[in-house]
Amino acid sequence: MTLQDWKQWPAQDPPADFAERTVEAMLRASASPRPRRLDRKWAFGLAFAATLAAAGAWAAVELTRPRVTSPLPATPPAPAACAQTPEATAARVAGPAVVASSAPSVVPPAPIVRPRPSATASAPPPAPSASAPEIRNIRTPRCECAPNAGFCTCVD
Amino acid sequence: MAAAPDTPGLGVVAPRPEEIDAATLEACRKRDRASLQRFVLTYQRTVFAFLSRMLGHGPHVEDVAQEVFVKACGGLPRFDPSGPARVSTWLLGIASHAAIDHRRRNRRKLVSLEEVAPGVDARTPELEQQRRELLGAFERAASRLDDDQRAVFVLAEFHELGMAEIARTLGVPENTVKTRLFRARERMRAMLEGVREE
Repeated sequence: MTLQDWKQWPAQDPPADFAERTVEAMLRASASPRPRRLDRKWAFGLAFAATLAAAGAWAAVELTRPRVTSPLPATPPAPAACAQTPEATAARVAGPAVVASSAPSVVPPAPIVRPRPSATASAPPPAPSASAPEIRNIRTPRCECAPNAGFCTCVD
Repeated sequence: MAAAPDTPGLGVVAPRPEEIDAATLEACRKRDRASLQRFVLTYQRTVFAFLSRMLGHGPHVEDVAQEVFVKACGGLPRFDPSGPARVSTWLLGIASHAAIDHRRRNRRKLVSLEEVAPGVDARTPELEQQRRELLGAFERAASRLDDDQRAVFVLAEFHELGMAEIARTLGVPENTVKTRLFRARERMRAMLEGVREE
């Protein structure tokens, strides 16, 4: 057998009415509007491009927006009557009964001035390992101040 | 084995169809029914010959052939008759893509000749049996070719297209066509060796 014998391979013949039916199909296809169908690869491409554009827009907005540092939380003002005077301290140590008897004249309460940490301070920050636990343990005492007593009873 | 060119559908190289004239082509673009019918009648045998060798015989060939003509009708406005491709070559390009698509979709194997080709001529039963065995062997050998190699082989062997024409038809470089044709011929030769020895 040679490759020339290949030429004997029979071909299928078209049926007699093929042309007529095909012309009908051609005319039908050209008459009906072609549905706009997205090819799958185009759909994937469009989705990918949309994702890229959205990510790019988000990144541009994020990178160009000025960074706003959050302000320090406002220090809650100490109660005016809760003065850290020596008398108040003594009263806190000795208890309310002792203090009541030795109450001197009314001393105007001095405002508490707490040093605020400065961002431009040149002092190096404290070592975090040693001092951090102590700072965390500071408690603000709850104080009950009598209106005209000039002292407060504070409970830790 | 002698060729039987007069027997319809039996073997032989597909005759090069008379190319349709420019006026008819222009009328086809305007969806003129008579011109479209002439267009189909001119090229239907070529398309059927190609598709039946690519896909095997059967009713699916008719479906794919109709798909080819409908696609061609839609693409006619873009076809340039003064370009390098003839209408038949252009149509075979559409047919080859449709055939490869069809095979990929259906993973269809070639239908054996015994199933689809009842006796096509009135030779003696012995000769007919021998012929059918021989053609069955060709079908089996061809079914082992890749789709691309098969398309190149059929176009080169049955439609007598040159390398450049096949390259244009399939949209691949000419060297690729040469390689595919060489490999297809080698494989066919190797697969048919056993048949020759028998």
